[in-house]
Amino acid sequence: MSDQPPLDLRALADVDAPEMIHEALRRFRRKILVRSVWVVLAAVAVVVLLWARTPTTLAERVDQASRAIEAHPVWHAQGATVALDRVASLGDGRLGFHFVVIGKGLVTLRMSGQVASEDEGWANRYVEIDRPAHGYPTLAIIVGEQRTSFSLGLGSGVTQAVWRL
Amino acid sequence: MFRAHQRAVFAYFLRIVGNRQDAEELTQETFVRACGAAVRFRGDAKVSTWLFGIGRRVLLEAVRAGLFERHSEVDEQTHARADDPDERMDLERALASLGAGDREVLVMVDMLGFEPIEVAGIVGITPETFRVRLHRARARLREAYGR
Repeated sequence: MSDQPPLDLRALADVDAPEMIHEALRRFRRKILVRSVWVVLAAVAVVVLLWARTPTTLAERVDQASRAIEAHPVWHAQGATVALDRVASLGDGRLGFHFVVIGKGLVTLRMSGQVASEDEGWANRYVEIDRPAHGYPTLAIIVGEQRTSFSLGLGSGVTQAVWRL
Repeated sequence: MFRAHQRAVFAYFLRIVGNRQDAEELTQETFVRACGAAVRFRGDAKVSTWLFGIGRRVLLEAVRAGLFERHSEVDEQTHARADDPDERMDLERALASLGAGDREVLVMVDMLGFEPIEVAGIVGITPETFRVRLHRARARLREAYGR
């Protein structure tokens, strides 16, 4: 290493420095503001997306439910064919049923006092009932004035797992 | 706190980049980031060391963005206020003729008065390596200065 002392550069640090802190603080606040706006916008976008994806109709709630069973028992009555497509747990002890109905004329489904809706076209019927505390619900197929009832219990083709959803 | 270091940070950038406009921009950006990082500053280093660490990162990003390619000439307005203008100007020219790496170590240690071990920490190299780099930079400056 050299024994020579280093050149004294301290005088070069003596420069005219303009006032920059004020401007830096202003830029910092603007940066925070812009970032905050983006965070709020992103949060709003997430909320909107979640809200848009939240199922609202019974058909959407049944079709998008995570706890569900695909069951395909079929009933025939008065020239109409009714197939159970899906049973879903809707929370709070409620069950949603998706039936597919094929038949001429007006076919009405009634289950535990609830009349099936027609949310998704003529062939799809959705109904929401309370999970039965005991026994099994009855499915009534009404074609015109004719009414035929089926118990959804043992031997109906509806798996017992449906009632444990 | 920031105001106390404003001139030193500006001088650091001025000597490295060689023109006031970029030095002002880099100084401002350093303080903008320091505002954001202030809540995380634990006080286990000197404020100046912490601030120059931020400044160096700002500088490296500017280098990557091609700042030195835009300004190869040293701004005439970079001159220090001095009692002996000729000597100071020679010193400035000699410093400006060195590479950015040499300028940085000399500015930090011989101009701003940092301890070599502090600068080694800021630069991210061992003190021994830094001492070698400093020694070589000083030799090159002396050669460029011609005395």
